[in-house]
Amino acid sequence: MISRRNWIRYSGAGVAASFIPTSHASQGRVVVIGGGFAGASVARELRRLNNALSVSLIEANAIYTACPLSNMVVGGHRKISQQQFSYAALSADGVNVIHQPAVDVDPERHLVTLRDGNTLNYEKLILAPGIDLDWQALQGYDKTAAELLPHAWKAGPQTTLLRDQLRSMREGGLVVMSVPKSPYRCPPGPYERASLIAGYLKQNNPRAKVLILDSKDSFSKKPLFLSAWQSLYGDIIEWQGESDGATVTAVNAENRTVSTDFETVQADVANIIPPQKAGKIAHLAGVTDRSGWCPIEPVTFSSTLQPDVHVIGDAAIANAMPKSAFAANAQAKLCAVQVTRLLNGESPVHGKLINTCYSLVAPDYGISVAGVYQPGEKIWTEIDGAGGVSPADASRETRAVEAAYAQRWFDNLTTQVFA
Amino acid sequence: MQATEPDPATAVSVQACYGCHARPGTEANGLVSFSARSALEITNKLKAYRSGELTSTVMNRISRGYSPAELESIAAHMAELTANEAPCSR
Amino acid sequence: MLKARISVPARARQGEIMAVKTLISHPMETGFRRNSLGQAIPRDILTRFECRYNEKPVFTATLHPAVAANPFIAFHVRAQDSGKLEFIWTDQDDQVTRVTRELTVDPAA
Ligand SMILES: Cc1cc2nc3c(=O)[nH]c(=O)nc-3n(C[C@H](O)[C@H](O)[C@H](O)COP(=O)(O)OP(=O)(O)OC[C@H]3O[C@@H](n4cnc5c(N)ncnc54)[C@H](O)[C@@H]3O)c2cc1C
Repeated sequence: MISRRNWIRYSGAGVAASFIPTSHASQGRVVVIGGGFAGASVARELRRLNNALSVSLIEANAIYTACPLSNMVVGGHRKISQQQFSYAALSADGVNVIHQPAVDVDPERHLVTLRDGNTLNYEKLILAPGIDLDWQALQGYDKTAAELLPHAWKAGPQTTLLRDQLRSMREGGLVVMSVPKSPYRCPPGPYERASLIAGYLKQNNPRAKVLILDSKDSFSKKPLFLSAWQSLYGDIIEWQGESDGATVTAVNAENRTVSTDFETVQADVANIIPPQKAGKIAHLAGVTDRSGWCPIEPVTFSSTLQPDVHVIGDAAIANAMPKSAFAANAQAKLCAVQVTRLLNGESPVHGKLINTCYSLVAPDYGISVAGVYQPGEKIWTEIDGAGGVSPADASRETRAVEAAYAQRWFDNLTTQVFA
Repeated sequence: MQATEPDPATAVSVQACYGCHARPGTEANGLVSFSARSALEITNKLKAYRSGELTSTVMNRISRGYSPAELESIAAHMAELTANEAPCSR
Repeated sequence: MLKARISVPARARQGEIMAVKTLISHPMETGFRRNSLGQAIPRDILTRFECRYNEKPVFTATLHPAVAANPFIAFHVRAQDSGKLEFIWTDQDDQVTRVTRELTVDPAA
């Protein structure tokens, strides 16, 4: 429903051709930018909650390649095609899916511009563009360098490039991984990747090693990872943190060298995970702050910087909640409820959210971190006494159950979002 | 048949559960399913996870984020959805 | 003794400006934070850093609670004579961490 206030604003601004409410059944018009776990979920949920809503989803790619479990592709346990999903089901649900990049947002005029020059008018805009890699952050690491030293932090050709480099690495070679400071997409992801790479090497290249150069001293599930590495992979993985001087400051793609302030390491394969920020369109829309991410009102995920814009998923600053696909989907479902209610003139709901992130240390060895979150006045906080990581002394059977859950979680989520 | 309107906060919480558990109609894809469980059964299980009487992988950690009263309304709404919602494609 | 890392050339020409980088592993606990039980975490900081070149101080710094954990200090030193570079960190209780590096200086070209 369009509130009277909005209707007046639209008429005053000169209504764009694409926004023509019919006399009585005037419908809310929502535009979503980005069709990842956050954006595809919210578009579908909006239609499920109110099928009178007009929902457009702007997504640059025709096929979505999911990151969760993509480390299993790197390790050789899954095919990249198992990570890929189309938007057919969303279209079938009545979402107007537009496969083009959005190139600009004018928050004042409530207008989104597409690459072909067409514009879309919105009553509510939901931004879910995920991350952009910061190509300025590491000396020597730009898009061209990434063709030689893959980041594989956006799943797709980068994922298979890293897998193929591992496969063709010389015997006894050294894999160097560079891990950024927080916040970044998927806090435990780099360590899951190191594990699955080590598993591949143990089988196929047993004298080879993995060296993790980390820009921080502690990380998600660290004690669980360290002890699992010891028992599963012996000394294949070496981890160095910030206080070891391991913060990577520069790379040289041609020579495959990775430099910290104190040494330059010769790699055979280098996986550089650079610092990140919210997707570019968020910057163009004026919803990012100096951190490069998007500040939001916790309850509604509405931007604190622009009216009628909501930000969900990796791009948003959700404080205690990690940048995960699980959280992106949970935020999307809540945001869909809030946007629907706001369009109906109802007040938003205070709801709690959950996150659970599984990491596979091996295909049959899973560990998890979970949390329950509530929105405060300014920030999302984790509820004390709840959440936490898998027990340190769990049996191998429990680890196997969690590994199976990791895969079933992925199937459940992708079914809900894309099937 | 339509499920009766739950209070909105409960509806939001139940959606969070479907992050792992299959929405009614997609039992094959989720973790442990709720099908054919009554509200009472689900409530008792959630409370037992919360108190630590029952152990599981993540449910102890998650159930402690809710009060017993919240767990009761979540269970009731879940049972209702499972019983009432016609199987759908997701 | 704390864990410290130093980056400084082992050899330089006389008059050359050398980049020196140091990092020391230390929590730099401000004394203002509280733990999850609400108790204050006691202050624990490094208070002073000094670099001596053949006994002469060439760079000194005073460190405050606002300095982040694992202080990273970078500066420049002009190469004069062969000899010894010493790096000295002192904490609030006068505990000292000392690292020494030998430097060979070649005559200017
Ligand atoms: C190796 C790895 C492992 C991971 N494992 C897990 C895991 O086990 N569990 C978990 O929960 N999470 C995991 N994650 C994290 C998870 O992938 C992200 O948190 C999640 O994808 C975030 O969703 P999103 O929708 O915010 O962003 P994305 O999934 O990146 O989606 C953003 C979409 O927006 C589109 N887009 C951007 N800008 C525009 C524009 N201007 N116009 C049109 N379209 C645009 C992009 O094409 C993209 O499809 C992992 C990540 C990595 C890298």
